[in-house]
This record gives sequence, C-alpha cells and structure tokens, in this order.
Amino acid sequence: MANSSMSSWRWFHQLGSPKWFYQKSAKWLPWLWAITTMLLAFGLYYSLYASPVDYQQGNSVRIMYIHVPAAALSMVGYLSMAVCAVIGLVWKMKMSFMAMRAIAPIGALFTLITLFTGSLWGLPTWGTWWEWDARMTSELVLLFLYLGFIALHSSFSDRNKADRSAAILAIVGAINVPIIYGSVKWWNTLHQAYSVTKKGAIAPEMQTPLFIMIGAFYLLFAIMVIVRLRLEIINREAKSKWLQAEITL
Amino acid sequence: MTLQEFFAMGNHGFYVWWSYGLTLLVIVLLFIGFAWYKKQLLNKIKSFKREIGQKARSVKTEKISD
Repeated sequence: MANSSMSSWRWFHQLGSPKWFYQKSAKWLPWLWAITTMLLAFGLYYSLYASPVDYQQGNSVRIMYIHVPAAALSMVGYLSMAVCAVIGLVWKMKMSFMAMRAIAPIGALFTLITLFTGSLWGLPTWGTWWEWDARMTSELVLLFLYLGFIALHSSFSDRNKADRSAAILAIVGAINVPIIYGSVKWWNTLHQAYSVTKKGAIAPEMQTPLFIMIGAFYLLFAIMVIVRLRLEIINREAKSKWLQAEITL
Repeated sequence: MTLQEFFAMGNHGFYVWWSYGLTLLVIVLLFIGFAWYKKQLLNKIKSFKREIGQKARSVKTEKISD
C-alpha cells in the first residue's frame, strides 16, 4: 500500500528535480518537434488552402486558424503560470517557480500574436483594427500582466523574493482570464461570441483544421516552455556539478 | 486556382499573409532570443569556472612560496 502510493507520486518528485527534467526533456524535444511539424504541415495546408472561404468574410476567415489557437494559449498560458505560482508558494518547489518564470515570455508572445492577428482580421471585417471594448481591452491587460510579471521578477536581486512577489502577481492577475473568456457574453462587444466547440456554430470543414491548428499551437507552446525552462535551469543551477557535466563548454 | 489567385486571397491577401508572416517572425525571434540567452549563460559559467581555477592555482602557489 505504502509502496503504491509512493510510486504514484514519483512523477511529482521527478518533475521537481531540475537534473531529472534537464536530462529527460532533451529526449522529449525531438519527438515533440516531429509531431508539431507534422501537425503544422497539415494544419497550414488546410487553413491556407484546402478549407472553404467564408461566405461573408471571404479569405480573411483564414486568420481564424492562428488567431483562435493563439488566444486559447494566451489564456491557458496565464492559468498554468498561476498554477505554478500556487505550487511554488505552497510546496516551496523551486522547479515550479522556474516553470512559472519560463511560461511568462511565451504567454506574452501568444498574447501579442492574438492582438495583431485580431487587428489584421478586424480591419477588413469590422472596418477597424482596434476598439476599446471588453474583449480587446482585457486581452491587452493580459499582455501587460505578462510584461509586468517579467519586470517585477527581474526587479529583485534576491531570487526568492523575486519568485514569491511575481507569484503573487501571477495569482492575483489570474482573475483577468475569466474576464477575457466571459467578456463576449457579459458585455456588448464588437467581438463575436464563443463558437469554437459549439455544435453547428462553425462548419466542420473549418472546425477540423481549426482543431489541428489548436493542437499544433499547444505543442508549440510546450516546446517553447521546455526550451525556456531548460535555460532557466542552466541559469539557476549554474554552480552545480551535474549541470557543468551536462553542458559542453 | 492559379498561384496568383492563391497569393491574392480574394482581396484579403494583405491581411492573411501579414497575419501568418508576423506570427512566423515573432516565433523565429523568440528562438533567436533563446539562443542568445543560452550563449550569455554559458559565457557566465565559463568565466566563473575560470575564476575558480585561478583561485585554486593562486592557493597552490602561496603554499609553495611558504
């Protein structure tokens, strides 16, 4: 009994070990790249060529296949950063803080992609690239939360203080995510309502490529976080023997 | 569909290609940023390894001079 409960938590302890993660992730990355490239090849073929043109929006609907996945990841990224912050604060797990720091710039990147693809989609569709409505404003706030997190974290010379302060910002800022998600329901916005998984709201010839692209973006996000987390490990474990043995100088 | 028609995207080529192009660009820039950061980190490790080596050597020579 004791044995089985110990082994079921083994993954948690392993993930908590920078050395274990650094060595294992080197083996995961080529596989993740292979699957992501394949999904992207399929996804781009459909989203740029083989999917139908929208009867109202014309070809500009093709922007959806990167705008929607990027928007999903911008929010999922922030929530995962906040979860890492909680785990780091409660269990004092240093790998969790490292992951939190690694997610921030990548989440910011996906938020940026969401904003400019949204503008480029809005121009031909709504006739404007920006409107201070609830959906767009809250997504812009998300970008500032990511950037604020990075700025706050780097403003401390003491790493423990930096981790804990930035973690609190990550947790408090998480309130913005349900606001972004709900904004199109609660307020009258220019942005359309949620339709991605709603039955009949989106043609299956568009839904399938959209799901492929969402999958590809999730994997791309995972790759980016892993690569950035490995750098964070190098940064924080620079003085440990195992790391110096691992890297070739 | 001809190649020209594909690139024109009706009259939405500008918006579609800028969306996809900029997305690709920022992703590439992110990985360039990672590579640059890694180089910096490795240089940092190299320099403090050298310092440790120098300290060890100076301790040795002190002992010999004693």
